[in-house]
Amino acid sequence: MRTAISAVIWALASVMIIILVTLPINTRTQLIASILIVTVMAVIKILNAEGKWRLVALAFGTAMILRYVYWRTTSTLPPVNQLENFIPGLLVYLAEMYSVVMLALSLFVVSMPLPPRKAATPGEGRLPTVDVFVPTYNEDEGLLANTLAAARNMDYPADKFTVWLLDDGGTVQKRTSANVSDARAAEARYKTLQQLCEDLGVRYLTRERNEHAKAGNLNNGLAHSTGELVAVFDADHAPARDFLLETVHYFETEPKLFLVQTPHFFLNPDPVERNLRTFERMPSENEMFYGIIQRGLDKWNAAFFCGSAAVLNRKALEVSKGFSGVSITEDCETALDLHGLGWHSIYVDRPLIAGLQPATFASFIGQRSRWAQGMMQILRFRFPPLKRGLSFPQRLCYMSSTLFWLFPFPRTIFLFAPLFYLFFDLQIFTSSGGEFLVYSLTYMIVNMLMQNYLYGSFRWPWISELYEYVQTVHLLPAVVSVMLNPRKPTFKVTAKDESVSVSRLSEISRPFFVIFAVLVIAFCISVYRVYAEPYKADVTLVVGGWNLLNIIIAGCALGVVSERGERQSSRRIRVSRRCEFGIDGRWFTATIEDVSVNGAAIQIYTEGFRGIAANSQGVIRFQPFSDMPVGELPVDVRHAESLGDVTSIGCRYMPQKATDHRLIADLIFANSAQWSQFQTARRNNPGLLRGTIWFLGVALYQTTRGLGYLVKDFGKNRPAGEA
Amino acid sequence: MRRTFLIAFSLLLAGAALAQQPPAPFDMGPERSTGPATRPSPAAPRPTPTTPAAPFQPTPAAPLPAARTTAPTAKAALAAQAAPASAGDQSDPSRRYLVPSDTLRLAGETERRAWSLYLTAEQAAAPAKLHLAYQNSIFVAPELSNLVISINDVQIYADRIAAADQASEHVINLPPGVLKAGNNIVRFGADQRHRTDCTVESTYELWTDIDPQKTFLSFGSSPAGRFTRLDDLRAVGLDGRGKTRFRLIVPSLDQLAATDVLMRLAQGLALVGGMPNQSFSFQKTPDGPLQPGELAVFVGTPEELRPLLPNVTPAAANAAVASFADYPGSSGYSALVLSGPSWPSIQGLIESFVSSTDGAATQRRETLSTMSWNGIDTPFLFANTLLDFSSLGVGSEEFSGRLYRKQFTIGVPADFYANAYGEARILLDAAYTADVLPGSHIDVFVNGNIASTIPITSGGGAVLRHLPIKLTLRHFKPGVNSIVIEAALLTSADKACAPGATAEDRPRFALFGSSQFQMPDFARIAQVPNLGATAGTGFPYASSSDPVSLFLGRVDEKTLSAAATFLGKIAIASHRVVPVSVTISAARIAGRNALFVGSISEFPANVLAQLKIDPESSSNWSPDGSTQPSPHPSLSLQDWQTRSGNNFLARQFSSLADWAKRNFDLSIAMLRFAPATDETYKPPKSAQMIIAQESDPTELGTWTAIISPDGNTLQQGMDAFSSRQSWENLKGRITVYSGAEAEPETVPVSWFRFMPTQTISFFNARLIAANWLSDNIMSYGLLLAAGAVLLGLATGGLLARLGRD
Repeated sequence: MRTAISAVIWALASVMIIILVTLPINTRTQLIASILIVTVMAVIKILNAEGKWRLVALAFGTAMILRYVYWRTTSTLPPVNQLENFIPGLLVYLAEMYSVVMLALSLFVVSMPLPPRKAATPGEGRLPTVDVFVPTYNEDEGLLANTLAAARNMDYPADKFTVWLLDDGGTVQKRTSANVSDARAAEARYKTLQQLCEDLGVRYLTRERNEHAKAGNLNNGLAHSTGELVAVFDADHAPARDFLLETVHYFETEPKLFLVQTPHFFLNPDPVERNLRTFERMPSENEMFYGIIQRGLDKWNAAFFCGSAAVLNRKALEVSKGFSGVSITEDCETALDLHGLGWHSIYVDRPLIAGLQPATFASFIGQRSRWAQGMMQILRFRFPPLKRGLSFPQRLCYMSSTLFWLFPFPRTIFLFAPLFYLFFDLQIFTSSGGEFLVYSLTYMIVNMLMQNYLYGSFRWPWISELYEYVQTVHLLPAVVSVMLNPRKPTFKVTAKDESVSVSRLSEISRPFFVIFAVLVIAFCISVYRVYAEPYKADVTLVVGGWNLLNIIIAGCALGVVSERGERQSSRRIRVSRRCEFGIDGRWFTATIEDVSVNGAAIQIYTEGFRGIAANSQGVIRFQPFSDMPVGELPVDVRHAESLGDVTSIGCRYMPQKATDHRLIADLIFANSAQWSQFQTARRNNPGLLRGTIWFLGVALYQTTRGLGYLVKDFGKNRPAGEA
Repeated sequence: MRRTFLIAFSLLLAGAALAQQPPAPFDMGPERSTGPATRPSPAAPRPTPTTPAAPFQPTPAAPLPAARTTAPTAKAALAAQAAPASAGDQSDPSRRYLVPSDTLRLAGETERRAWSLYLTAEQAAAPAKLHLAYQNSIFVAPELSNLVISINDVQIYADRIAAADQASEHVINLPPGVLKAGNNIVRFGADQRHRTDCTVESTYELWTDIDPQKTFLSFGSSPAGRFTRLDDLRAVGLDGRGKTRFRLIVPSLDQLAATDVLMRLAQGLALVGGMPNQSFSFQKTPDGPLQPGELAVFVGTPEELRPLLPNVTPAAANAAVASFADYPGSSGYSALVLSGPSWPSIQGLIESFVSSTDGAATQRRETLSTMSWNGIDTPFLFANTLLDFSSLGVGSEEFSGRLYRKQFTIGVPADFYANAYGEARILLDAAYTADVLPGSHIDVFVNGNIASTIPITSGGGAVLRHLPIKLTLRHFKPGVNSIVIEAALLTSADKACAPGATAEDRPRFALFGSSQFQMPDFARIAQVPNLGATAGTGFPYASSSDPVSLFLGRVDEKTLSAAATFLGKIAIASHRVVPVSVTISAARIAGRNALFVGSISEFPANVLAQLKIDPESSSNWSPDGSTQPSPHPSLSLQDWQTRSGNNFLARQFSSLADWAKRNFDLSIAMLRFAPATDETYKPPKSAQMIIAQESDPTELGTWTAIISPDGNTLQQGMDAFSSRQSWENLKGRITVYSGAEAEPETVPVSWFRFMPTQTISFFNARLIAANWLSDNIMSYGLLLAAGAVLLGLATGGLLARLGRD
C-alpha cells in the first residue's frame, strides 16, 4: 500500500518534470535554468551528499537531459528534403538518443546499488558439497598449477569439495588430430596435467570432442560430478582461501538461488593501464562493473554470471539443462535463462579471486570482441526485453547489459560527425551558436556530472570515452559481422600469459594512426575556416571544438596502442609474512615483504652474514594458512642488497613438486582482504575538473609517446624494407 | 415611425449593394453629376414616390449622349498643361489624392507599394488624368532606374527616374476603362541602381520621394467630391497628406443624450470610409470650406439644420431621411444629411445606418482589412497555419541587385501571448547563383526588428528548397504585423566595382512564391493592460457585449472629436461598431469596460490612481507643453559607475552582461520570479497627450484613458494619432505623444492580469505557462528545481520499497 502511495507520488513528480521540461521556453530561460541546475548539482557534489541527495542531484541532471532531448528532437533536425544533411543528421541524433537511453537504463540500474553484503560468520549452518571446476583449453601448466593449488588451499572441509580440472586441450579429438604435431602436443599436455592433478589432489577430466566450447566442457564436468554446488574458476583465476565460506552459505537461506557471483580482481594491469601507467593509481576498468553495476543489478535480482569466480546451484543447472551454449558468452546467457525460470542470483562485492588480464592490446581486443559478439547473440537469440519469465526490472537490467555493446556505432558516429561539416560543409545540426552553447554544452556538463556522481570513484572522467574509443575501432567490424551472421562467431580463449618484453607498436595499431591523422587534418581545416570564413566562425568553432575533443581522445589512444616493454609482468602484493630463509643450510629469520605470481621480495635479518648473492639458491620456510604442514619452497635469488643487519633480496620461485605450488598459492592468494585494500586505495574520485585536467595531461603525453613509437617503428622497418 | 426610415435606409443601401451593377444614382441638386456614359434604364430599385426622399430626384432614364463623354477628353490636353499650375489649389474638388500617407518614399534597389483606391461610378467613368510629382536621390542612376505605376494592373507610367535636381511633375492621361467603380489597385514600383557604388550600404542612399500633395487623379470638370449613393461614402478619399477627415456638424451638440448615437455614427462612418488615417471633428456650425479627403455630415432636425442648409429636405419634417446635399459655400462637395422630425427618429436613422455597416461580431474574421494601404488584406491567424507566400502577395521574383527586400503582413489576435517563447518559421524557396559569395545573408525583420539571420555559407550557388528559418515571435503584436525578408548579396564583381558594374542585370537571387510562412499554435490569453491589443484589434472593447462606458471630461467639440477619432480607429481595427454609453459620473464605471477622454484636470483622482498616473500631475502638467529641461538632471548611480568603471572585476562582469545581452537578450532585470508592479507614472512636461490603459479596480473591466493637459492638445494629439503610423506606435501600458516631431514613447506593461478569451484547454495552458515562465525566468528555475527535488525524494522513497534492500 505504501509502495503504491510512493509510486503515485513518484508518478506525479515525474509528470510535473515532464510538463516543465517540454514547455517550449526560450533560450535565455534555458540558459538561466542550466546555470542554476549545474550550480545545484555541483554544490550537492561538493558537499558530498549521499543517500537521498544523490538521487536529488540525479533528478536535476535528468531534468536537464530531458530538456536537451526535447530541444534536440523538436528543433535541431535538418529538414527532410535535404537528404544529404538529414541522413547524417538523423544518424547523429540516433546516436545521441542511444546514449540517452543507455544513461536512463544505467540510472535505473545503479540509482540505488545494494550496499556490500556483510562477510559471513564462520561456523554457521550446514556446509553443502561443492565441485570446483577449472575449465582449461590451452593454458600452460604453471598457470594451472597455481590456480589448482589455490583451489585446493581453500578453507573448506576437504571431504566436502572436489577440485576438477576440465581440460579441453587434451580431448580425444585433440589427441587424435590429423595434424601430427598438434596431436603430440595434446598428448603431452594430457600426460603432464594428469600428473599435476594427481600431485595436487585434483581430479582431471577431459572428453571426447570439443563441442560447445566452454559451456560443453562445463556440462561435461556436471555430468561427471555430484556436488550440490558448482564453483567455476577460469584457469587464470585463483581463489582466495575464504572463497567458499563467503559464498556457499547464501544457498542455505535462499532455496531458489542459482548463483553467487563475486568480482574479478586482477593482479596485472590491462594493456590500457599498463601503457598509460595508471594501474596503481586509478581504478581498473572493470571496477565500475563489479563495484557499482553488479551491485545495482543485484538490487533488481539481475546480477549475472560472469563465467568465473561464481558458485552455482546444481539443481538450477539441472532445470536449465546445464550451461547454455547458443552464444559465445555462455555465462550471461545461462543467467538470463535461469532468471527467466524464476531463479535468483546474488552478488557478493568482495574480491575473492585474483586473476590475470590479457597483456597485449591485441588479446584485449580479442577478449572484448568475444564479449560484444556474445552479447549481440544474446540480444538476437534471447531478446531480453521480451523474454518470458523475467520481471520488468530484470528486462531493463539485461537490456542495459546487452545494449551497452552497441557503443561502437555511436562512438563511430560521434567520431566522424564533425568531419561531415569540416570536409563536406554539411549542416547536420541546425542551431545557432548560442543555442548550441546553452543546450548542448549544458547537456555535456550535466552528463559528465551525472557520470561522475554515479561512478565517480570507480571511473575517472573521460576514461569511459577512451576505453570505448580504443575498442570501437576493432569492435565495430566484429559487431557488424555478428549482426550479419549471428551464428558465425566461435568461442576463442583469450590469451593471458603473454608478455611484452620490448616496447613496440601493437600489431593492430595502424587504424589508430590513420584516424588520428584524419582528425588532425580536419582540425587544420577548421582553423583555416575560422579565419577564411568569419561569417560562420561560430559554427566552425563549435564543430572544431568537438573535433578537438575527438583528437584528444584519439591521441591518448595512440599511447594505448604503443605497448611498453615491461620487466615485471605480474603485480606484486604486499604480504608482510614471517618466514625463515635458508641458504647453504643456515637459517635466518625473515619477512616476506611482497609476492607476485613469479617471485617474492624478502627482508632477511642476516646479522652480518654476507653469503647471499644473486643467482644463489635458497629456501623459504613458512607456516601456510591452509591446513598443510610447514612447507619449504625453493627459490632462486635474483638480486640481493645488504644494509646493516638486513639483507633485502628479490627471488624467483623454483617449484619442483606439486606442494610447492600450493605453498606459492598460499603466499599469494591466502588473504583476500589485501585485494580489497588495494582496490580501495585506488578508489578516489578526482572530481570532474581535476580529472579532466589530469586526463588532458595524460592525453598530451600519450600522443607524443604514440607518435614517438611510430617514428621508431618507421626507423626499424625502413632498413628492413631496403635490405 | 421607425419602420419608415428603415425603408429609407434599406433603399439607399440596396443601391450600395448593387454598386457593381449599373447603379441608380441620386441627383443631389441643381447641378448634374456626370454619370456613366451609358446607363440602361435601371432595373435596380431606386427611389420611388413611396420614399419620402423628395430631393433625391431620380436620374433621367435616358442614356447620356456619347458626345458628353468625349468633351472632357478633348480638354485633357489643355488640362494637362494647366495641371502643374493648379497643383497648389488643394481644395480643388475634382481631384482624388492618391497617396495614403503623408510621405511616400520608394527606397532601395527594388520597392513595390500597392494600395486600393475606391472610386464612385461617376469617377470611374469620367476621363481621368494621373498627376505625378517625385524627386529622387542624386545617387540614383537614371539610365538604370525605373519608376512604374500601374492601376488595376494596367501600366500607366514607366520611365527612368531622373529628377535628382528638382521635383519632376508629370501628367498622364489614363486610358479609358482602366478605372472601375469600387476598389482599384494602385501600384508604385521603383527599381533603382546606384551611380557609382556597389556596396550593400550604398543602396540605402537610393530613394525616390513621391510628393503626396502633387500626386493625384483629376477628373477634369467632374467634381470628385460629389456623392449620390451612400456607398459613395467609401470614396471619401484623402487629402494631400494622406489623411481623411469626417466633419460631423451637429448644431445641438450639447445635448448629452445624442452623444451615444453620434459616437456610433462616427464608428459607422469610419467603417464605411475604411481609410488608413481617419479622424473626426465635431462642429456646431460648418467651419470653413471642405477639402479633398473630407466629408461633412450634418445631423439634426430640419429646424436645427435650416440655418446651415437652407434647402434641407422638407421630407425630414415627417420622417427621418438620409440624403446628400451640397456643402454650403463650396461647389462640388456633397455633404451627408441625416435629419428627421425629432432626435429619437434621427437616432433610429443612425442606428439603421450603423447596423448596416457593422461587421458580424460573432463571426471570426479571416482577414484584417489592409487593402487601403497595403493593396492586399492581411490573413488573420489564430492557430497553426501554413501560408504560401503567393497568397500573401509575394510572388516569384528574380533580382540582380545587392539588397533585395520583400514585405508582407500577418495578423494575430488580441489574445496573442507568445512574445517570450514563440517561434514562427519561414520555409524559404529561394535560389542564388554562383556569383553570390559566402558572407551574404538573408535577414527577416518583424515590425522593423531583426528576428532572424541566415548566413549564406556556401559558394557555388544553391537552390534552397523549403529552407526553415526560425523567427522569434517576440516582436509580434496583436493586429497587423509587417514582415520583411531582406537578402544582402555580395559578389566579387561588386567588391571590385568596376565602372558600370551596377548596370549588370543578370539575376543573382530569386525568391519563389512557393515559399511558406508557418505560424505555430501559440498561447492565447489576453492581457490587461495592453494598448497594442486595443490598437490592433480593438480589444477588449470590440468583444464586449455590454456598452462601453464613455467618460467625457466635458461635452464639447474637442473632447467629442477626440473620442470619436479614437472610437473610429477602434471600429476599423475591430471591424465592428462598439456600443457606447456616455457618462459623466465616474462612480458608475467600476466593473466594466470604459473609455475616458478629457483633460487631466477633469479626471477624478481615483481614476488616475487606478491608471497608475501620479494624481499630482493634474495640477502640474503644464498646459503650454513647454519643454524646459527639468532643473535637476537626474543623477543616477549608474552614471558614476560608467564614469569610474575601471575596476578589473567590474569590467569583466559588465562584459559578461554585454555578452548575455547580445547573445541571449538577457539582463539582470529579467532574472525575476514575477513581473514587478508598475510605478506611478508622471507625464513629462513635454507630453501633449497620453493614452493609458489599466484594469478597473474590480479587475473585470478595462479602462483606457486619453488624457491631455487641455482640450486643444487633446484634439490635436488624437488627430495626430489617427494616422496609421502613429496608431501602430500605440502599445504597452502608456503611450505618450509629445508633438509631431517626437517619436511617441511607450511605458511598457509590467504587471498585468490575464483575461481568458476561450475555454481552458491543457494545450493552451501549457503554451501560456511557457510564455509566462519564459518571461519570469527565475520562476521556471524555481519550479524545475522544486520538481527535481520532489522527483529525487520520491525516487528515493520508491526505490527504498522496490527491489532488494
